[in-house]
Amino acid sequence: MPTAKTTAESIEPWLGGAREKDPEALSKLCAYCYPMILRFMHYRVGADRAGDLAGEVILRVMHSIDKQHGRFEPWLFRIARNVIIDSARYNRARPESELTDDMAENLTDGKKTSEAAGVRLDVQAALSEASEEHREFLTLKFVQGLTNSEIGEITGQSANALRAMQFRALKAMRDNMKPERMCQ
Amino acid sequence: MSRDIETILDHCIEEMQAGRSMDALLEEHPDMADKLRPLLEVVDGLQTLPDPPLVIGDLMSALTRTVNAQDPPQRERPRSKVAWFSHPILMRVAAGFALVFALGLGSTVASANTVPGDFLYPVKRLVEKVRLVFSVNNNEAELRITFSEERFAEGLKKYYQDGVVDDALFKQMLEEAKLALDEALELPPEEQTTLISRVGYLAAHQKNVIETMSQSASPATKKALEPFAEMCGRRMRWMEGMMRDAQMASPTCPNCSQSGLERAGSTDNARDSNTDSPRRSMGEWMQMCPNWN
Repeated sequence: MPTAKTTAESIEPWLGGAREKDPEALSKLCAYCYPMILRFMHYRVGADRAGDLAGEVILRVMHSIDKQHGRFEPWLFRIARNVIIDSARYNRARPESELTDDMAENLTDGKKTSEAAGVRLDVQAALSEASEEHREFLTLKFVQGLTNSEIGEITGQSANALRAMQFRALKAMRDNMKPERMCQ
Repeated sequence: MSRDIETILDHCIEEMQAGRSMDALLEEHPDMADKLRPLLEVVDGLQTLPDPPLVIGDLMSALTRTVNAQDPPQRERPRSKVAWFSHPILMRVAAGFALVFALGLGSTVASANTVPGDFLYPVKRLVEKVRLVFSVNNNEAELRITFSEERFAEGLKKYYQDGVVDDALFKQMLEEAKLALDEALELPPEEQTTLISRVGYLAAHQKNVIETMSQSASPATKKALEPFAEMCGRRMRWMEGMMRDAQMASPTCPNCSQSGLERAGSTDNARDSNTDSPRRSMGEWMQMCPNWN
């Protein structure tokens, strides 16, 4: 599955065609963006809503690709961020930070997994319990592999603010994780 | 102190992402190692979270639901609505996705019977390309065979509908079959044999149908169809030779014990032209694939 880091340069040849709404280029762009956005949404809002919201992002990308300029990934994740914000406004009654059924199922399955997998599931559970702000940062930075500078373009925060948030978010994650899983 | 650890943590994360080990980094900061280690372990855990399962149907249905939503959660809805429906390609894509969903994913879709020039034809091709990009293992070769069949069916439909031989469709039909073989060569021998046989049968079928069409066609049409029938025939003979050299068993009819391609009439010429030739590798055969160029 592509991450922002591994394939950022590989979309350049298609962007021109996609801006002209060429179906071939649009399909490649769609195929590049969708797994990345799905992964982001999966850890940002949960598995049950990830497909819907990722689809909405792709639709907006296809709709506004002719207006895209500057770095692609920050632009893409700004759209993803707006989709989440709009969706939260639309579905105010549905809390976003609940542990999703899918994640809960994973945790139950985790009984039979190794210690390493147990740690991973703890990370997943702790991420789902993190605040909206922290989860957004952690997903962009560590799940998607964006740099602080790219995240700054998306959220509008300064480098210092992001460094401080990084520390707070990781500390909160660690506090949320089972102590026996962590190395002492 | 707090500012220091934030900066050092950020530096350690950058270094870890560049490939340095956690232990090496902690050795550089022994006074903060106890505080840094648990945080870096969380970073490590986050970076190794698994990918969610990727199902192309999710993409299609999600797009469709979004397009069909009566009150979509779009901030710029009034402006975007005008722009959206003013754009023919996007409107067709949306309509296509909507129809894919409405009629059931994986089943026959509304755009499936379209031919070049139809409103939904670009949607059909876009969906094909997306399926191809998301294909796994031997699926790409299978898809290429399906696309060759599709181009052939479109060529036939166009011919019977408008009386026109669409050169581009027949060439794409042959090109897709060639791409299926390219993909097949990457597969394990057993799957390779099955797929190569299928492409052989496809070429035989296409040749037979084109020849049947020619029988009742005008001289001009006959002339237009001739190169495609000939190319299918050359492909059949070429594949027969390839399968023989690779010691692949051509599928055998249980009633007459003739191989499938023998029944399709390809083997005589293949034997004539290849019996005395040295055995070639699959790669060499692929380089000899009869093509337009």
